Formats: sequence, structure tokens, C-alpha cells
Amino acid sequence: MKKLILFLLFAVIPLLAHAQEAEESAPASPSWSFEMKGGYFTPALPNWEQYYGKRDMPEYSMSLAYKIIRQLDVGIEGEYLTSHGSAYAPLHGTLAGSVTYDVYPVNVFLLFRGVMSEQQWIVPYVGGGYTKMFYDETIENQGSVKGSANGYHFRGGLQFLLDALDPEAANDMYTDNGVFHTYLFVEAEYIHAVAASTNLGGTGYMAGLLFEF
Amino acid sequence: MPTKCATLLLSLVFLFLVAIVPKPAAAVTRVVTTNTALCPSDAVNFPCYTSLTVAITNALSGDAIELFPGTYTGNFIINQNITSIYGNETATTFISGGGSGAALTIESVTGNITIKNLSFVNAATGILAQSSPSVTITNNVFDVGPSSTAIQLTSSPNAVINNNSFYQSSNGIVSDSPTVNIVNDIFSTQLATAISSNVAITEILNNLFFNCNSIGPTTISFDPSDTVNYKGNLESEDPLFVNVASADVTQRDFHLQAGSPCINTGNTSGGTNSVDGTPGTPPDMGVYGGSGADTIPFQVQGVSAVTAGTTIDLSWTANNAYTVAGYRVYYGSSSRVYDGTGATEGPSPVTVPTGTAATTFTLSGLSSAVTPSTPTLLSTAPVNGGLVLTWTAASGATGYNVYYGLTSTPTASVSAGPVTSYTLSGLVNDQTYYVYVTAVSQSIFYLAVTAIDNAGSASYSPGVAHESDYSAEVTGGSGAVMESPLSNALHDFPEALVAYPNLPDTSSGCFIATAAYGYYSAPQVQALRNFRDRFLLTNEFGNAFVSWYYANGPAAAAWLNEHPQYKPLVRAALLPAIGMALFMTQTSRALKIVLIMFLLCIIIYTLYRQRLSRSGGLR
Repeated sequence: MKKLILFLLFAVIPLLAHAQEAEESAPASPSWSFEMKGGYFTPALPNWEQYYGKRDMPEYSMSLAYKIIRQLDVGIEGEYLTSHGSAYAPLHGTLAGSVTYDVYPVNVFLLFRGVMSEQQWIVPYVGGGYTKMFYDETIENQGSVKGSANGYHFRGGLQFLLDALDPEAANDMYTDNGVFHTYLFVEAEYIHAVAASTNLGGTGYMAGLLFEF
Repeated sequence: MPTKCATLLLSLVFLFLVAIVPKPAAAVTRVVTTNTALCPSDAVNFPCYTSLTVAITNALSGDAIELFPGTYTGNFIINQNITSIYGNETATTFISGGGSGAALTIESVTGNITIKNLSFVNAATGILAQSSPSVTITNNVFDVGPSSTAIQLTSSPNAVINNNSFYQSSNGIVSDSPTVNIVNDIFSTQLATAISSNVAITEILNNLFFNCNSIGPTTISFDPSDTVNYKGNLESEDPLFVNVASADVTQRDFHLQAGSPCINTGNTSGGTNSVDGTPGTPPDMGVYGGSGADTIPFQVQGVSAVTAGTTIDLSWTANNAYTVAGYRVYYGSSSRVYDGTGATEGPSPVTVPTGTAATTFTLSGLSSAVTPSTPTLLSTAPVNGGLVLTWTAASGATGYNVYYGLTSTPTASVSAGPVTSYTLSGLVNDQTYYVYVTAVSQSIFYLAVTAIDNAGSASYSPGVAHESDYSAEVTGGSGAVMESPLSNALHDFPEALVAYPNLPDTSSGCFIATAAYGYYSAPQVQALRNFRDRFLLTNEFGNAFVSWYYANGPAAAAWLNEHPQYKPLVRAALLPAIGMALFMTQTSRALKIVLIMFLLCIIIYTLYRQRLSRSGGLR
């Protein structure tokens, strides 16, 4: 345990020094943020695994947000989730054929970020908002069913400031591209959107990069 | 003693120096091929490349470069002292300039270099030799283009240009040096000048000039009685190439036909013909004459096969080269593996004995297939408008047929091919079908033809020596198609599938019916959709109704989903509409007319009885 503490100290002290250097050269605070992330989504549908063979489906997302104040973002997010599985033959009562299930949630959100300093290493955040969930179920050689459902979502996570790892690169990112900060983040997400008495939402876990500019 | 020690020491130093001084690299043959499977196994002495440019770049002094069949496109430059660059087979090894520049430039090569057995096409200049004093160009085809120059020699004296065929270029040879040796070449259709030089070239021996705008040197005599200037050159006689009419330059064949004036009329300095020469006999003029020509006949074209019972009739286009003495017919039961043995005419290859006139041959007595075993139909699975069938593999089967019908007697069949799972499509949902499968078998033979030359006791080998490469492969079936008895029967019905989760289609469709019946693919909903597509969307009134419904239906469907207790009531209310839709979409026109007339009769009869009842006529 002592070794672990010593290791953390040795790892953190240089970062502190770099963070201090970065803070001295950093300009004013950003107004926008853009994030890309990916992960896995577990649908709330009770028999999902029976039809699609596994409990999760891959999830990809991008969002753009405007900073009303340094701690409050408002933005829009587009997601994509997809899975392949079996369809159901209702008269036979068996699985048959193949189906592709695609979902495209569009979120409008407010995000509260616990950022107190431009060089704060770890930033917790929580947010949520309205969700419009578009779906497209395509049964092979049969056709597709398309529609949408309204709902809401919550998400929260931790953002880790990467600038301190390489202050020179961080400064270049600002001077070349106007990027103030780059974060690596992990987050959990909950979506609730009902279509025909069916909740198409679920829980997702993602990681990605956030750029503030 | 000190002397001995000094001697020993010096010897050790000498041995050490010998050991550490790098030895000169041994000359190698660098092989270039677009098919890496053809690379020689000895990678040390025959390093293999897929790019001619890379091979040239890696070549060292003393190396040779061998090109396997293929087309090598570019403006290649050799400026190191390699000894030769040569093709594996002249007719199939092309160096293309890509339409411009010199296809091959020999630049400041001071040693002897030989270029042979290549076909130069599509270039402004075929070979450009600059400041290279000892170039030998032999047994090549120059078919570079009507506004191009085949060979240009610049500051390159002592070039030897023999046994080449020049066809349809502007200039054959352009040289600024008098000491050029031009022997046994054929200049055909040179649109400007066959040999263009501002100095007098003295060694022009035994060449043929045909259809040339200008021959060039004025000292050439074609009169055998001119003992001073006649040197075996011929004029105005068609060399009788086998085929130069093809628009595709890769299909042109510069072998000589029988009766060509170029046969055995070359200068003996060209050596004995490699194909059919006997010592002392003059060689042929042109690319396939002399001792340096490759011995591979042109590939046989136009092979086709017709099957009749257990015989296969083959035919092909004649190879009219005068050196071709016959053909070989190859057959086997696998593609490109010609090891067949069962034909009455003998094992593969069968030599067609009657010379170049024979362009047909019949293989007879070939084996027939035996009846394959009966497969077992394992399962059926429904899909929309079809059934997925799976069965066991049957021994000896080369394919399977699927039989089906509405009763236990099948009324239709379809060939499934060599598979053990098949989706039978085009069926009607909810209709029960009986399905069977059979195994089928037929003996299939794969065939190819080659041409062989008249080299007598030579060892033939397709595409290597004295025998052309295999022709394009053809197939033929032998004997009847044998079919197993029907497998066990299974019966099943196709149906529209439902995805999970079962969601409404709000993009288009029957919103209320979908909500009432619970899923989009329900047969009742499908019936309404079919009615919409056939009877509403085909007229203006129907389109207006559909638009109104699309605008208002989703709200009604949403209300119904929120109040599922009303769904049975809505389903009952929809029954007449569904019945009407089914009647309109699933019945024939004649049945519709009959039913409508029947209904009209009932209505008229009912009205008639009511009138009678009111008038007191009916008691």
C-alpha cells in the first residue's frame, strides 16, 4: 500500500508542475465543446438476449454543446446503436429469419460540470434532457418497420484533463486548432423512451474524448 | 625460428584478409512475373519480382532479367551492365510503353546486352539505345503503333538486329551509326521508312520488306543477278503472318503460315531454326526464325464442347502456323487437372494425329454418373413468403433439387445447386406446403486443347517447349443426370415474421390496424396494406384518403395503444374492411364478378319479396 501511495505521489507531482505551466500559458475559457464516444448499451427490454444472442449492443455517439456558463452546457447529441438477431414467427411460436435492429437516439441536454479551474484534472458532470428515439427494424427479405418514441435521458461521468500530460501539445492544439482543453471521459447513461408500451431505452456505458474550444 | 614465426604470422594475416574482403556477388537471373506462384524455388539464384522496375533497380552488373508471360507497362530504363533481358514466351510477354515514350531504354550500357523474345507494343519508341556500343536485339515483335518508331539507335554502333518482326509502325529502325547488322528481319507495313539512317548501313542481309512506304537505303538490291548489291533481301512479298488482323494486339500471331517467302530464306548467320531446323538449312526470317526463337506455338483459340450421351464433341479454331503439326486434347474430372483416363480414345492427353487441318475431335466412352444416395430433409423454417430447408449431404451428389406442392404430391421443383440449405421463395403466407429434396449427379469433364509443333522427337510440355499453353478451359457433361428418389416429406407454412421488440411502423402503413392486431406484419394488416397499394394508391380519390389517414391515423393508433382494452372492439370493427380487402386482393376477377352477381341477385330477390309482401301478394 505504501508503495502504491509513493507511486501515485511520484506520478502526480510532475503532473501538478505541468498543470501549473499550462495554466500560465492558457488563454480565456472555451465557449463550445465537442465529444466523441463509444461503448456498450444494455437495453431494458426483458427478452433481448433471447432474440439477439447477447445482453449488450454497441453504441456510438457525438455531441456538440454550448457553454452558457463555465459550469453549464446546453447541447445536442446523436447516437447510433445496432444489433443483429433473430425474428419471431408468431404462428409457429419459434425464432425464424434474421433481423437488424437499429436505433438512433437524438438527445437535447443540459449538462452541469463541476469545473472550478481551467486546469482541474478531474471534472465530474451530470446532465439529462429530452430524447427522441428513432428506430428501424429490418427483417431480411421482408421489409422494415420504422418509427420513433419520445422520452428522456440522464447521464453522468468523470472527465480527465489530458492537457497536463503534454502541455506543449496542449498549447499546440490551442494555437493550431483553437482547442482549449482535451478530456478523456467515462460516463454512464440511462435512456427511457416508450413506443407501443415498450421501453426502448436502457443503460449505456461509454468512454471518449471531449474537446473544448 | 624468427623467420618461421614471421612466415606463419604473414600467412595468418593473409588468410584473415582473404576472409574479410567481400567477394563479388555472383550473377543471378532476376525473374519478373505477375503470378507469384510461378516464382522459382531457388530464390538465391533466381530472385523473383512482380515489378519490372524493381527488378531493374536491383539488377547488378552481369545479371540477367527473365520476364514471365504478362504485360509490363511503363517506360523502363536499363543503365547498368546486365547481360540480357528476355521473355519466357514471345507471344505472351509484352512490354508496353503505355502509349508514350520509349518502352525500353538502354542507356550507357558499355557491355554486351541482349534483348530477345519480347513483344513491344503501344509506345512512341519500342527500344531506344543510347550510348550503348554493343546491343543485340533478336527474336522480338515490334507492334508499337502506326506513328511510332520500333528501334532507335543513338550513338550506339555495332548493334545486331536479327530475326525480328516489325509490323505497322512509322519507322522500323532509325540509326545514326553505319555499323549496324540488320539480318533476317521482316519489315511489314512500315508507314514511313523501314530503315532510316543518315549514314550508309552496310550489313543488311536477308530481310523481307513488305508494304513499306520507303525501304530506306538506296544500295539494297532485290535482284539476285546483281552480284554486287544483292544480299538476300526480298521485297513486296507478303510474309503471311498467321494473324495480324486482330484489333487486340495481344491476340496477334506473328508465326508464319505455309507458303511464306520467309521460310528457310534467312541468312545462316542466324543459326538453325530452333523449332524445325536441320543443320545447314537456312533459318526463317522473322521473330520465330533462327536459333534464338522460343518454340512455343500460339495458344489454341475458340475451343467449344458439345455433349451427346457419353461423348463430348470438341472443336476449335485452326492454328495456321506452318510449324504446327497437331493438337493435344486434355481432359479430367477437376478444373485444370487433366488426368482423365476413361475415354475410348485414350488417356489424357490425346494427340490429334491429322495435322493442322483437324479442328474437331470426339471423346467417347466417358464414364456416367451413378445414382446418388437419397438425402434426408432435416428441417423447415418459415420466412415471409418462403421456407428455409436444410438436409443432409448425399454421397455422389453434384447438386440437389427441391420439390414442393400443396398436397403430398409435389407439383413444382427448383434446382438448389450443390448446397444443403435452401430458401424456397415465392410461396403464399399461411399456406401449407409439402416439401421434398432429391440429390442429382452427372459426370462433368474439364477440357483444354494445345497445339504442338513438328519438332519430331522433342519433349512436349504445355507452355514450355514445342507445345502451346492450355487453351481456355471448357466443360462438358457425360451421360444422363442421375437423380435419387424423393427424400422424406416435411410440411410447413410460410408466414410474415415479427421483429423484437414488436414496434409500430409510424413511417407509413395501417396505424390503427397495427395497433389493434399488435404487430405490423399481422396477416390482417398485410391484407389492408395490399388493398391500399392496389386499389387506393392507384387513383386520385384513394391517394387523398391515404393522405388524410396518414395525417390522423397515428394519433388514433397512439390513443389505442394507451387504451389496449379497446383493441378487441377495434379488431371486430375492422373485420368487414379486412374481409373486403381480402376479397378484393385474393380472388380472381371471375370470382369477383360471380360473387357480386350473386349478391345482386340476393338483394333483388329480397326487394322483390318485400314489394310482394307490401302489395299483399305474398302470404
